[in-house]
Amino acid sequence: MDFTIKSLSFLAMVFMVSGCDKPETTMESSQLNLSFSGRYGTVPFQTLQPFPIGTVKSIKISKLDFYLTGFTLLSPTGNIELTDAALVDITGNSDQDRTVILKGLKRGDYSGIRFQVGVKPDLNKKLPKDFKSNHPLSSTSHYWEAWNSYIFSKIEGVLDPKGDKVYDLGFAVHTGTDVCLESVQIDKSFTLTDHQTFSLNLDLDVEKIFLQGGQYFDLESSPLNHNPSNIPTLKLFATSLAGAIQLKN
Amino acid sequence: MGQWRSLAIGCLTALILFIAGCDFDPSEPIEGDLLHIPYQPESVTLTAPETYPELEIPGDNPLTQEGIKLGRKLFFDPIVSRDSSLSCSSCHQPDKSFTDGLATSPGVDKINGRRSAMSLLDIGFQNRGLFWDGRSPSLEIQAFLPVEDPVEMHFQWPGVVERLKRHRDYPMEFRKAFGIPDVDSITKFLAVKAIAQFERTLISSGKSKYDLAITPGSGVFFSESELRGFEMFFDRSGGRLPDAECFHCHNAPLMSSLDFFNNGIQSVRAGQVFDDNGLGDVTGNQAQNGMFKAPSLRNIVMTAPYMHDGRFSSLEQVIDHYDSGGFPSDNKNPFIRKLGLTPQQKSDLLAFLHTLTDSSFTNNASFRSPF
Repeated sequence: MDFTIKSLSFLAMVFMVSGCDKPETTMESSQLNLSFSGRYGTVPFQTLQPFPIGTVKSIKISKLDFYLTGFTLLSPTGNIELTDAALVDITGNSDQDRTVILKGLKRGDYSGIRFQVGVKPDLNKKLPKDFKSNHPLSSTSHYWEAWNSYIFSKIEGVLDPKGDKVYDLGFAVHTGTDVCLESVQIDKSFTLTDHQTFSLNLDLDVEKIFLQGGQYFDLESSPLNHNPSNIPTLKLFATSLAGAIQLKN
Repeated sequence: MGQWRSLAIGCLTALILFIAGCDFDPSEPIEGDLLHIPYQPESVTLTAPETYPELEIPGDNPLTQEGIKLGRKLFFDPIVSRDSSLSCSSCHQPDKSFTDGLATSPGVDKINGRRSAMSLLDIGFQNRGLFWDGRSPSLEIQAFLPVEDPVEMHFQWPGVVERLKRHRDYPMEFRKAFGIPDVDSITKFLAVKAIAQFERTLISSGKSKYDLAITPGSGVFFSESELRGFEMFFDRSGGRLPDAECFHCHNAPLMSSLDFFNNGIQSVRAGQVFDDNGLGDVTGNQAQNGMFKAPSLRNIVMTAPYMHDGRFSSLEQVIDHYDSGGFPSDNKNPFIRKLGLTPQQKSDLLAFLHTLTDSSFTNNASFRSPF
């Protein structure tokens, strides 16, 4: 009897020790990066560089950022919805500002990814104070109480209306409210493997944001667009912003 | 004879003990010399107005009664300056909402810095960089800098630490706050942790007229002028009044977006360079030249003069500046534009700014000097 107990104890200890040695593998250890880069038509985008907007006028952009939420990994065996939110800052100081990092993903083969440009309604009901300071949605400068909404995107800069290189008209487009939420789908097959990072390079054509129905938006007539009374205009910008995002060749 | 012999032996013994005593150096560290003092820190949970975000406390610097007490003492003690003439509170005075009423402040060598002392009200919520140019990521790191800045305390941390070690009370207080075993364990890292703990307690009371007026059932209401100012400030008049565009940078509840802006107070020189480049000098991104932290407007009436260089002595001048649209430059915030406010509308904005006064904060005895 005593021998049996001792033997069982020994075996239990062996199992415990061998269990400790076993490397931990989980099904959710992969990472997907969405790396954005900007261009203006065929030219690489740079903050405060002049870009033509029509035949005479030109603009310099000082701020261009937007929220992405509602990430969904697309798979023939079942889509996977993620809870992440990200603020992509095309005018930020580093590549990190232009990269969305999605961690803890399930390994497997995927046919693409879908996300929403803006803050999806369940998150848009919340306030910046509901999030820790390192969370993208904690930014009070991206929330407008008058809308009861996050500011989904900010595009700010100066316009040279006369083509005389005098940039004397500031402009701003701030989109927001559930109406301005837009969906983007990137169809690109990729495989996520354990402890590995896969990167999708995405392209934002900034010029397309200002092109609506083949015409450049008239910033001179309407330089400041951030008011609830401007929702139809803001919706146009939200749609064109989403349409400006595509897989980089 | 025997008596003389005993006396001689006694004297000799006393002499040996005296000489041995002379060899003893009390400044020599003795391992574990503080262990007899109990280390029983009492954790503290701070309360903030309901509308505020959660105050995040670093995991390696939890708030304790003892840490806050030590930090408060260090904050008000000129021991941190080279000639013991300046403390943190010299530039951050409680009755001025932790500013000093000066455009720029003189250091121990009577040389003025180039920027105005910022208010420390709600400083714990500033999570996007401290100072006007955002160069410090945390209160702990921020507290290192003024001590060694030539235009501030102009001292060295080893000198401060040496003074703290030799002080009558500080070793015991460091022991109580951080559980150090001996005097020699006092470090600059612990000193800045304590100062940061105290600074995190500097939270608005939530009892300003503004706070009460926007709280249903408080029984406090804006005057007509204050209400018009409120509506212009937050663009809430539905088009009846001009949008003064203030809220873009000075969001509720902190009355600061915590972000950085070029608000058009500096004229640009060639190549997007300003007299003071602010954030741009920190990040190296020229597109951020001329951008500065949007400070909280809570207690703004108490914190004159205004702007990063204290160029405006009154709020009237500040409102006039924003009404003018400021100097043009490529990265000037687009909401800084000619507003065309009437004298009455300017007066209404001023009336609203007065409702942000929080005298419960400045009168809080816990924020005053312990000396």
